[in-house]
Formats: sequence, structure tokens, C-alpha cells
Amino acid sequence: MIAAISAHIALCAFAVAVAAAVAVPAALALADRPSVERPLSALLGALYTIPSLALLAVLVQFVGLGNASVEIALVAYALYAIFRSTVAGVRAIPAEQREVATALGLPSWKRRLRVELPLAIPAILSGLRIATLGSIALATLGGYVGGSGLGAILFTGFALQNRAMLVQGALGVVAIALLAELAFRALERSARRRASA
Amino acid sequence: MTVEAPYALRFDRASVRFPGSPALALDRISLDIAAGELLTIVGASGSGKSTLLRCVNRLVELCDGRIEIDGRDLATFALDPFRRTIGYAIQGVGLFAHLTVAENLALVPETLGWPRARIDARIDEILATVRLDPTVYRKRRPRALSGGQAQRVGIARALMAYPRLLLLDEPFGAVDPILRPQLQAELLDVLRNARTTTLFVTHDVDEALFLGDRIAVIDDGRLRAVGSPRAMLERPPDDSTAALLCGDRLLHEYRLARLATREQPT
Ligand SMILES: Nc1ncnc2c1ncn2[C@@H]1O[C@H](COP(=O)(O)OP(=O)(O)OP(=O)(O)O)[C@@H](O)[C@H]1O
Ligand SMILES: [Mg+2]
Repeated sequence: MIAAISAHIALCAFAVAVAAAVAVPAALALADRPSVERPLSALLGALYTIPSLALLAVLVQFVGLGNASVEIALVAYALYAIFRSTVAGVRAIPAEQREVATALGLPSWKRRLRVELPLAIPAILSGLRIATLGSIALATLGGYVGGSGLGAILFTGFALQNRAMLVQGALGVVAIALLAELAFRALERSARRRASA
Repeated sequence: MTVEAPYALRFDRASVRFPGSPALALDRISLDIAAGELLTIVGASGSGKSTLLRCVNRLVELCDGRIEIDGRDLATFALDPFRRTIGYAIQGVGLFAHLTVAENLALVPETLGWPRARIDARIDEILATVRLDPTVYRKRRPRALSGGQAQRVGIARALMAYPRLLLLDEPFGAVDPILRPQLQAELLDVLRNARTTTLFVTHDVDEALFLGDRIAVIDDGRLRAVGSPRAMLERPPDDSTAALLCGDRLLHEYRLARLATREQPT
């Protein structure tokens, strides 16, 4: 059980980390360029609406059974929330603060890293929270394509009609989700305090 | 340490129109500002004072006319490097909320590649100039400063990297009336030493008269009058300027007297 929980957490943490490493820089770079940002958002949104079982079924065709397919699906779903919330966070920075960064003549990379990124952190964290909770739920479906984690317990329990296994798996998912929610809420609160005037 | 020569500015029928507005926000402003001059700009709210400053660092683009820096068209400068030679303090203070006072001050010098030791020494020096004890305020975040303290840090940030031009938009707006004359005198001193060309916007006529080598009066996007404080007080060019700058007789005499204290050699 402990092994399944840690495998589940590892699965989700890895996926969210990969998605963030892609989506946050992309969003910072594109927040000012709606002509690129809007089609990309639409694309990620479309990806997000593909039913998860269908996506997994397709991925298995190409990647095979196992965790790799699950990770790819998780990343694909997480991208949308993180990208959108980062864009929204940058756009919500008071115009005055962004304008001062411009007026000081900071080069654009410095503007993004030293001013926009830190001021958008609360919004980014809320995107990470949504992506993480989504992944925790979604990762259970990985049991269906041979992934590890609590999904394996749930699917085995289902196959064996073992109620104890099912309850254990479900409780595990709820516990992780709750912990993640609380942890992110706390981080967001302290980040909001830091970033406010 | 090389401090580069201050800029000379020329506005040549500079005009600004904001999208969606029929009227010009700046209407054919023509004005020469000598290197090292301190020009104060007064005018009613909404008359275009901030817009005038924001044309110079190109936060606002002209729709007509031009601005020259040392004889060269402003539009031909590489934007970011040019902006780093300008000290700008905005009306709303504009300190970065997530950075400490010292980090706010260090942004531009870091970008200019100053060594750490020089940045640190300059932070202490400039905070002392605006009468904030560096040991107390270096590590503060903006939300832990009073309005007047934050404005002084804003001025310090503008002065930090030996700018060739200062654009100060009501920098003393939130400084209390007791400290204000002290800071005015102090700033005057700093600027006289540095001989930095300065455009200084203020609502406060006394401040404008006391600080300015010349005063420009802006009204409804137009330049109404420009001249030395003494000339403006003694021979105001028109009635509305007279009403704005001279006040009643008592005030007029007080203003002339205060001017005399400044004109005394120090
Ligand atoms: N970005 C903008 N878009 C549209 N109109 C603007 C913009 N900025 C300023 N204006 C308008 O231009 C005019 C001049 O504004 P400006 O901020 O220069 O006035 P000001 O003299 O600095 O006033 P105050 O003393 O209140 O600061 C005003 O009518 C204002 O509404
Ligand atoms: Mg203004």
C-alpha cells in the first residue's frame, strides 16, 4: 500500500514537474503575444477535452502498456491548467509594475524572470494545484494500461471484486488529493502575501 | 567611475493622441531643455504633464513632431540601453512589491554590469541622500514603508545609476510637508552636483518655483508659458499663468522672497 501511494505520488509529481517546465516558460514568453498564445491555448484546451480513457488507449498503441503512456497522458492534461493560469497571472500584474520594468530598460529576459515570474507565482501555484489534483485522479486510470500506483490496486480490486482493495485504493487517492490541496493552499497564501504591495 | 554627460533635449512640435480620443493629449509642444537644466512642469490634473515625461522614455509614442536628444532623433535610439540612462520615478511610486529596497535599487546597476561592491556602496550612499538609514531600510519590502518613504526610495532608484536625464513625476507627492522642503533642498543639491538634466512634474507651485531653473506651464496639452521662476513671478506672460503662479499679493511676495533664499550662493 505504501509502495502504491509513493508510486502514485511519483507518477503525478513527475508529470506536473515536466508540464510546468514546459508551460511556465512558454506562458511567460507568450503572455504578451495573444496572436500566438490564443491558438496554443485552444490547442491545449482541445487536448484537455479528449476523454482520458480514449487518450490512454491511443497512447498504448504507440508507446505500449505501462507508466510511459500514463505519464504522457498526465503531462498532456496538466499543460493546459498550468499554461492558462500562468498567462492569466502575468496579465493580472498591475500595469504600473510591468511598465516600470519596461521604463527601467531591463532586458526582456530580466523583466520576465525578476518581475513577471515572481509576481505571477500565486497564479502559477493555483494552476499547479489544479493540475496536481487532476493528475492524482487521472493517474488511477493508469491501472487500466498497466501503470503503477493506486490505479493498479483499484483495477486489481475491481477485477477480483475485492472490496477491501477497492476501499483502500480509493481512500489512498482521497488522502493524497487532500494533502496536495492543503499544501498548495498554504503555499499560495504565503506567495500572495509576498507578492502583494 | 565615469559619469556621462547629461542630455540636452529638444521638443519639436511633439504631439500625442491616445487611441479613441479626439483631442490631442499633447499639442505641438516645442521646447529646448539645456544639458544640466532643471525644468519644473506645472499644470492642472489631466493637462498632460505625465504624458510629456512618458514621451521621453517612449512609454508613449508621438503621433507627430519629434523629440531630439543631443540633436539626435529619439526614435533612433536602441530602446532598452537608452532607458537605462534615464532615471524615472513615477507618480504612483512603482517599487516592485516582491523585492527589497536594496533589490529594487540594484536592478539597473546589475543590468549595467556593475560589480557587487560598487552596487552596495552606491545603495548606502543614495539611501543616505534621501534620508533613509541604510542599515534600517535596505532589507525592507515596499509594503513596510510609509508612502513618503516609498517615494524617497523611488527617487533613490531614479538617481541610483548616475542617469543622464531624470524624469520625476510628482516625486514628493506623499512626502509630508515638514520633510518636503528639506528633501527639496537636498535634491537641489544632488542635482546641482550631478548637473543631471531633469524634468520635474509637480502640482505644487511653490515646489516648482523653488526647484526649477525654468518652469513650464502646461494646460490642456499645450505649453502655455515657460521661463525662469523670477521672470514668471515678475512678468507673468498672461493672466492665467499669473493666477496660477503668483497667487494673491502676500503669496506673491512670499514666493519672491523664497526664491531669493535659493538664489543666494551656497
Ligand atoms: N494611456 C492613455 N490612454 C488614453 N488616454 C490617456 C492615457 N494616458 C493619459 N491619457 C489622457 O491624457 C490626458 C493627460 O494625462 P496625463 O496623465 O498626462 O495628465 P497629468 O497632467 O499628468 O495629470 P495628473 O496631474 O492628474 O497626474 C488626460 O486627459 C488623460 O486622461
Ligand atoms: Mg500625472
